[in-house]
Amino acid sequence: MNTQEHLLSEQHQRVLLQLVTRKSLHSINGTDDQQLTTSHTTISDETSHTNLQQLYETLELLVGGIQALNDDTQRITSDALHYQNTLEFLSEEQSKVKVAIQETNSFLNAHKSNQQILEQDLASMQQQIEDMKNTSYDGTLMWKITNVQQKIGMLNIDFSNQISFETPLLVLE
Amino acid sequence: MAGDGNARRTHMSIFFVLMRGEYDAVLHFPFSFKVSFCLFDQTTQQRHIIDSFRPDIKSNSFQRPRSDMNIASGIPKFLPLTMIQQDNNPYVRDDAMFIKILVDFGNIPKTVLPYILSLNPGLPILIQEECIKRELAKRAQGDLLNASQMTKTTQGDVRANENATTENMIQ
Repeated sequence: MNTQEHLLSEQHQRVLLQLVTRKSLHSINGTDDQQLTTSHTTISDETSHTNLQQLYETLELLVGGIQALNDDTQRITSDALHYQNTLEFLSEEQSKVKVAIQETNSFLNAHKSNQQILEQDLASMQQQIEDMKNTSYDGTLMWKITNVQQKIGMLNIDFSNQISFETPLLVLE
Repeated sequence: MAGDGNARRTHMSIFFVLMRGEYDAVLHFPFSFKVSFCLFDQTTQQRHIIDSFRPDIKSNSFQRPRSDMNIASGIPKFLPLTMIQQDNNPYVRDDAMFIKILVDFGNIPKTVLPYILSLNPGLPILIQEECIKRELAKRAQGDLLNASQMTKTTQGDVRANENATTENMIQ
């Protein structure tokens, strides 16, 4: 017998019908059973229900607290992030300022040596001007010797040395 | 400078030194002009200390300088130190001395030097020279009148261009 013939056989059809009938009956009874069970437990559940209600409320409170704490944590985290960013920014700024200070320092050092050179130049130019001013070109020279007492005094202090000093240039023309 | 042993610590010496210059190549050497020094009496008495020396043209001091500076030459006993150490001496006033150095290009007679140095140093050189010329002429006339002295002719001076400096030394 092949499967198709078996499925179309009277015996098979009958068994199927019985199964469906039984199933539907069972389902009706089952619903009744459930209703019965619910009504049975209603009274005993009432107390546990209020307990549950309280628990639920407590839980809700706790949940609210946790929510608030979560919010706080989030806020603090974002604050921390913000501060971290600020710190990073500031440290960058600091290193920039450091570099700027170093540059300023080296610039100042260069400037200092430049100024020293300029001062030396100025001194030598002053000397040159002094020489030119005091140079005589007419075969005569008026020589003023100042601090004579001091110069004679040097003689008394150090007998071994000759004390000498020079006139400006006398250019003979 | 070698310093004169006799003058050490007793006199003020004054020296003249030729220095090398940019134009030495076209100048005439040896340097042969008389050099006079005058320490000014700063009072109205005008008792200036005047002394001169004539270069020894054989000396190395007056040849063309081969180094920056020749050996100095001058008057070791220019002035006894006591003269400027005395209080209230006429040569040091307000702690300053004035020394005039004259290079004589024209054979100015020694006797005219006091006159030249008594001229107001503030006068322009041309006017001073004019005064000197007039004084010379006057004296020449006087000499002719006296007929006792010959006038010295002024040589046509060879104009020289030389750098020199004098150095004063107390020893």
